[in-house]
Amino acid sequence: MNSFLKVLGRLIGKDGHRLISPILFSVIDSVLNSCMYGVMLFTLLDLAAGQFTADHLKKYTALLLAVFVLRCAAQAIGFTQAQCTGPDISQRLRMTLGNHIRSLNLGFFNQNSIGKLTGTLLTDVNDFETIITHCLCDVVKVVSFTILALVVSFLLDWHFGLAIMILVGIALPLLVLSGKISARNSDALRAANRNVVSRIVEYIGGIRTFRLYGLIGTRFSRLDDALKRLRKESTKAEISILPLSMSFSAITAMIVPVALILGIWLQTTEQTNATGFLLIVLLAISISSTMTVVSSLYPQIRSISKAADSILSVLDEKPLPYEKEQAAFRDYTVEFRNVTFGYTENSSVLHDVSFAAQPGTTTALIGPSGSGKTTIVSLVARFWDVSGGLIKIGGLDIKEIKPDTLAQQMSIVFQEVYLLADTVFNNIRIGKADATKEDVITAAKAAHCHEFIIAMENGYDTIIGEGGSTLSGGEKQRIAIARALLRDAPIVLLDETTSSLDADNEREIQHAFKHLMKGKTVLVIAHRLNTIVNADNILVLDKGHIREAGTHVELMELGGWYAQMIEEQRKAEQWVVKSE
Amino acid sequence: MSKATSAVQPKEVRMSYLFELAGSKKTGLYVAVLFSVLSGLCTFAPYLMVFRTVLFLFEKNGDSQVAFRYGLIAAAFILLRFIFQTISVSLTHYGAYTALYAVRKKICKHIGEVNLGFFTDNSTGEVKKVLMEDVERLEQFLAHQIPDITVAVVVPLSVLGYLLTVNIPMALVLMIPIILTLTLQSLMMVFFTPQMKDFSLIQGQLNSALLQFVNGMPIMKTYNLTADTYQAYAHAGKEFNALWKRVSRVAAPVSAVCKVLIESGIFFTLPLGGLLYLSGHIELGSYVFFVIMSIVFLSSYSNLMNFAQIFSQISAGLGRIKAVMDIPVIPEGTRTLSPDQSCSDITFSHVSFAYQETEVLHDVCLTIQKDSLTAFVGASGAGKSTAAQLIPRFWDVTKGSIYIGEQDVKDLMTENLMDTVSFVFQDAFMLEDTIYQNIAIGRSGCTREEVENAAKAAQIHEFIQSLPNSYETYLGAAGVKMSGGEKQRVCIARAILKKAPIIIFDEATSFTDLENERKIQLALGNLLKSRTTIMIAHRLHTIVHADNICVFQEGKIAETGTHTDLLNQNGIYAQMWRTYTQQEMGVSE
Repeated sequence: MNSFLKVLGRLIGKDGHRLISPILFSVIDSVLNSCMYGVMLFTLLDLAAGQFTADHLKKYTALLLAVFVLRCAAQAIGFTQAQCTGPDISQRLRMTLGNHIRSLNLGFFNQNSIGKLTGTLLTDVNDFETIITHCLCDVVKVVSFTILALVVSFLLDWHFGLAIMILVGIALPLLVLSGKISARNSDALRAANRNVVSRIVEYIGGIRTFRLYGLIGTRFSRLDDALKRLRKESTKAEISILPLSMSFSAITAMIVPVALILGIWLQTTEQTNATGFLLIVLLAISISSTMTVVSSLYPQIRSISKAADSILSVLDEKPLPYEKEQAAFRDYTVEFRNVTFGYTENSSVLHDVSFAAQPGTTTALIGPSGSGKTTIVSLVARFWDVSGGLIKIGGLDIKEIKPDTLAQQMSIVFQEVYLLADTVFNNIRIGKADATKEDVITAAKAAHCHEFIIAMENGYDTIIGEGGSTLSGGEKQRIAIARALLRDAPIVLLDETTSSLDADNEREIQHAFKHLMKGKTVLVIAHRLNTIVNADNILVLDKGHIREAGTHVELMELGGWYAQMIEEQRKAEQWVVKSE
Repeated sequence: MSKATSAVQPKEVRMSYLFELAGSKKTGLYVAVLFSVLSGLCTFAPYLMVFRTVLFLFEKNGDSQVAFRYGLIAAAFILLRFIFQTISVSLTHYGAYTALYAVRKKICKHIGEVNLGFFTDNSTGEVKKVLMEDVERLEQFLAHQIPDITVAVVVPLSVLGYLLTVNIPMALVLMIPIILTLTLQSLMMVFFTPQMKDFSLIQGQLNSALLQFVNGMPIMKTYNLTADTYQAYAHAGKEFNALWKRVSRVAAPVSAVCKVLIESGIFFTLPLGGLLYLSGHIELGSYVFFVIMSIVFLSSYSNLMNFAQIFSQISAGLGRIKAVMDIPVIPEGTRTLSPDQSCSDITFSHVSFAYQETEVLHDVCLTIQKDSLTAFVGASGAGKSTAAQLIPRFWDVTKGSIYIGEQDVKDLMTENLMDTVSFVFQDAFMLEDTIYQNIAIGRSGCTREEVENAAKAAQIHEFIQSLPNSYETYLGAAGVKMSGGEKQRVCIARAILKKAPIIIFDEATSFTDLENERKIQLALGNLLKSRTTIMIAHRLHTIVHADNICVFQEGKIAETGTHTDLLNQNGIYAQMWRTYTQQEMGVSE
């Protein structure tokens, strides 16, 4: 409980004190609510004693009216305050999370973690906020009332106090148990949900293939099975905890009949009077309805701690360490010295890789998929940290440089181009925040995208990206190149596209690349012979080793893997489809 | 470049549409609702017993045995109440999730049959959202709202009926809080309806800004955008906050007052009852009865408090579901081609085709001889891929017709048409499953041997055998990753297995591994043997021997003929060929 409060304190932050006032108001409200029962008690006592007069009635009515008005005021103020504090808490959480996420190792961002992160930002923050604002007041109210009621019960009569203690004592563990079971169920449910989502994505993504092979609807049994499993898990999740949660409710509801029987017994044995009896019954009703609130609050508290856990797990991810705020690069030579790297401790993707890429030269990385090309490029950008060896830029170990400073030295154009849901103009301009309209257009022209941009409906103001106009793969890549051109960073990391482009598009991109690469230290994952042949240095990678290195001419003379691959390629080029 | 509008425009729907979708098994629901009403009625029994006991106390000389019995009766009713509730909740949830399954299945089947023009970049996300979130929300309605609403209406009404027999004015005064709350809530709805739209709009903006921030993290980092400086991120949050607060300032006090009202039955019964009692219009017992009942009478009503808001969310979701279900399916034909007929010429007769509004093919006429090799070439966006995809009816033509032999493809049964045509796509699609399954979907009921033979012919058998689990190796996120070329060879194996008389091959321009290309070519050689072949070509050298080359330009066929014919014409193709060879020369030097 203590650590839970600490977590809350950390996440709520400095808005915490703003929650005190709504909590106070809700306590005031519940005191007022008890006053209402008090009036009822007095009325009943008057009636029993035959002392109910018009004067009393007036007094009670005035009291009720006052209570009613005050309750409205307390509820209205407290609730509004809580509602207005909530969004501030969540907004600050989102900003904190956002800036924290940004400081993390880029290698952290894979398909899995992105899903988790977006889930945290979208759902968990909201859940946390809603529940905090809605149930914090209730929790304080319930806890303080329950303690108070127990004390009063014991003061009234120890039999009664003990009876309530026993009933609540039996019921509460059942609730906790149901929470545990439901947590276990919800893991299974989430897995079933994830499974359905990936099947749906597969189904839609491959719809042409499935239609071609007659696998639509129920005949696509993979999706159908996933849906069936979801049905089973959902039903199970709801129904399996019913016996426990219903037992909790039934046992706590029994407080009222137990109080009745106990009250009658105390009354007939003259251990209490009419006032005592009525007090016992009214108290029993209040406690039993408070327990109803507990049963609906409990799952919310569970989900709040879950949301808090996943928010904290993101916040606890360690950002990349660095030593120097400022870095003076001698030049922009990228140097690998005996670099070894594995994504996990046991596997190794790169073994003892050494090479240097000089400014003004292009280094082409080639080799079969899985040979380590992408890993090398990612390590330069410090998406990951090397497991052994060193990577130096201009003589400085990249681990010592502030990641932002390091990032500023690089232009990265990868295969998958990410476009913001924004205008074309803004998408290019993020390359340089203070770029003028002219700068942007110049870059777009150099990247050979100016023409298709002005051909669009709103030119540079056309919204692209998610929900906007769709661009072809080649067009997207050229926009990314324009972005990189505008940035004009001394180190260029490229991944040539493998998606299909027609000859025109391909030529345009080649031109654009040429502009981008001029005078820079270029590392390119090459797929095109043209790029490879013209590179200053070709690194042939195989299973994490550099197998061959040199220029095209040198490697051809070597007569190794490279020469053989070029030979295969020549054969391929002579191949024609013949119909027989 | 089509302007991508949202494919899913929500529609106005009634809740009955839900039952239409979920099928007509409503008996379970009725039983569940009945039990939940019974359980609701049982709620009152303990209070009735409290009242009896209080009266007993007033009488002072009753038999305490009778009073004990009141307590036992109360306990019995509590037990019954929760038994009934357990039954009801079990039934509703079972029914609801069965219904959700039925709805999801229907939607999936439907989207498998719609015109493929529906699937744009955005639609996957939207359909996923409809299938997961909107359908899930129906559970709220089926499992919670239906029983809750019924209880909230039936239980107070029947109790009210009873109360009216006890004392009319007292019963009526208990209605005041309900009427006041209802009025306040309707007023709120009037105020909110216009705001709700802003709300979901801004919420959407916020969500997409958050998604972008995470998904675009490499961009955010390399271009130094922080949560504070990336405008969209900070801004969307602020705007959402502002709106939320504006709404809360009005809504929160109102719902606070409603909550107090619902808990204040006694504020109305105690004074009025007092007056009536003093003036002798009500008996002592009845007065006490009303005072006690007013604690509980309104509690079941509080379930209705958020009803309107949830209801509007559900019906918006149902609207989106309907929007998906209303996307027209490709109408099924009735005829079938005999194996003989399916090896016939393919004819495009005055075919036009439009994506949404934009026409991308204009009046295309073309005959593809049986057993010939026809190449479609042209710049991207010229219409060559679209024209090819019209043959297996991934889309339907807007004007004109496509015939296989004498039969319009629209008249053919889908199954028959799909058996006739094989299509190998550029972007090789893989199931997250074993390699074996990925090939075996080519033909249902094929043997292990057939799969292996197809893999051999597709030049992928050796590769598969080199994998740790051979044919049982898992593909996808958790399993082995294959290169583009390897994937395409799996697709070729699939197509070889299918043995369709017409083959459409969409060539990829380049592959991750240059060494793969040669193998693909060998695989293709095996696939294309004596079939009617359409090759969507990007590398012109592969099709120099084609029987017919169709040059597409801006949605029309600009030139047709053999390679030599077209070079002699010195038109578009000749120009393309020059550009192409120059580029290849540059490489080969």
